[in-house]
Parts: sequence; C-alpha cells; structure tokens
Amino acid sequence: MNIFLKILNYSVSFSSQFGNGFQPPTDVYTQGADDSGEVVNILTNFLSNLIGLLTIFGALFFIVNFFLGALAWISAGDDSGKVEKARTKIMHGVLGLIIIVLAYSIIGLIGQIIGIDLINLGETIEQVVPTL
Amino acid sequence: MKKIPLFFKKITQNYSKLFLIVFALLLFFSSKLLVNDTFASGNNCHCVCDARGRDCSWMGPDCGYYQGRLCEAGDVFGESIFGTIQPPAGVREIQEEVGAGNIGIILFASNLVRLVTVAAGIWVMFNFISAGWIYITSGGDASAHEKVSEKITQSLIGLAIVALAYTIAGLIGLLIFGDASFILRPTLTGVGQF
Repeated sequence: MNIFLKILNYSVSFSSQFGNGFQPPTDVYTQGADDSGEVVNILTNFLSNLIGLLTIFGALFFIVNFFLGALAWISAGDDSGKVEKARTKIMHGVLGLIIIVLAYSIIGLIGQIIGIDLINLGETIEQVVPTL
Repeated sequence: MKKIPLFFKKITQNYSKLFLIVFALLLFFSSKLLVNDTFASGNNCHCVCDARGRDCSWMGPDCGYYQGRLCEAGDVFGESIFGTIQPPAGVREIQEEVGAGNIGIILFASNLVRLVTVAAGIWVMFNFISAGWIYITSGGDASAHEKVSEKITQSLIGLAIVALAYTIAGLIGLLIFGDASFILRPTLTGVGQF
C-alpha cells in the first residue's frame, strides 16, 4: 500500500508543473507532509509531543499548587476552615497529577472498550484513507 | 568617381541572370546547412506539432537547428506563435530554483507563507507580553486571570495551527483526495493529460 502511494508520489512529482509545490514554512512537524505514507506519522508525532508538553505543564502547575497549599496550611493557624482549604488544594493537585500521568493509559483503555484504536491513531486514520 | 557605379551597373545589367542563379544556389545550400546535422544541446527542446497534426518542428531554447519530422504519438500540439518569453531578473531566480519548464508561482507563495508564519510568531510573542501586562496592571481584579488565560490559550492554539497548516493541508489531501500531495504539489491537467 505504502509502496504504491510512494510510486504515485514519484510519478506526480515528475508530472508536476509547479516544481516541488508548496515548501513547508518550518521543517519540524511539516517535513514530508506531502508524502501520503508520512503525513499521518507527522500528526501522531505532533500529538505525542503535545501530550508530553502538557504533562510537563501539569507537573509545573502541580509544584506551584503544592507549594501554595503548603504555605496556606502554614499560615492557617487555628482556623480549621483554612486548614481544610489547604488540604483540599494539595489533594486536588495530587489527584490531578495522577490523572494526567494516567491519562494516556485511560485513553487506551477507553479506546479498547469502545473499539477504536486511539493509541495507534495513525493506523486508525489510515483506515479511512480513500482508495480505488 | 562616377565611373565605378557605372561599372557595377553594367555588370549587373549584363550578368543579372548569372547573379540570380548564384544567389539562388547560395540560398539553397545555406538552407541545407541550417537544417542539417546540428543537434540540440540540452533537454529544453521538444517537438511541437502544427494544427493539422502532421509536421512537427523542434522548439525550445536548447534546440539548435533540428530538422523537422512527422508527428508522433506524445508530441505537443500547437504552434509557437510568440516564441519564448524570458522571465525578468527577480522571477528568474525563482524559476531557476523550480527548474526549467516549471511554474515558480507556488514557490513564491511558499516564501510568502514562510514570512506570514514568522509574523504570526512575533504576534504571539506580543500577545504573551500584553497578557503579562494585563496581570501586572490588574491590581487584584478577578476577571484579569480569565482574560489572560483566554488570551494565552488562544495564542497557543493559533500558533499550533500556523505551524501545522502544511501538515493539515497534507492530511486533508490524504483523507479527502487520497493523496497527501494533492494540495501541496498541485498539477495542471490539460486535454489528453493525466
């Protein structure tokens, strides 16, 4: 299948009147986007990196929230309401971080249950590519 | 002084037929020389059939003087009326990058897209700075956080779309037209061409 698409690309590039067509503005996430076998890989690569980036942002927010919660606990004094507030803040931070770390697995589990392969998104997308 | 023109006049009058014959012979051999045995020096030369589809003549900047032949299958039809128009200096650079015989307008458009991408990045940077400025000048205003987070998320989503635009075009080409290069490497189709 991919070989057929590559041959098609090859022949198209020879009959093209516009040279190599549109050139990508940047190479990251665009290199090979005009290759039918490669473009889905680029998308999945982008999504993977995005998930990694969001995980790191989640970790950063967790650190900030944890410290703020700890400070609130310290400065609460006798006020039990304030202590409760600080405790829930830290608890929610921890819970959120656990969910972020487990999100990938949860998505895979949901995909398994529903029957759509969400982890191997590229293969799922390639199933709907129209062919003759 | 007047004798010399008179002398020429005499000769041309007396031997006019001889001159005509010599001139005709010269013309004949020169035309033979022109069409014989000089070959094209590059690939930028192709056979163009006339409107009747019978006689094919070689056209292109690298052709030299090719002898014409009868049309074959695969020849280009239509006579060249205006000849080749040379591109001006700025366009020529783009043409040379695209390659001979190709149209450079999409390469030019890609350069514009590249410029717009950089402009979008700079715009996002200023958006971030102004978001920080909102935080600084809010002075405990509750709606500031909402405003700032909205501004930053929308900037980031926009930047992701700009960075991925090329890939999105490839994906649309793949999912709708079955070929990722359908939009990104477009082809002109004429009569009888695929």
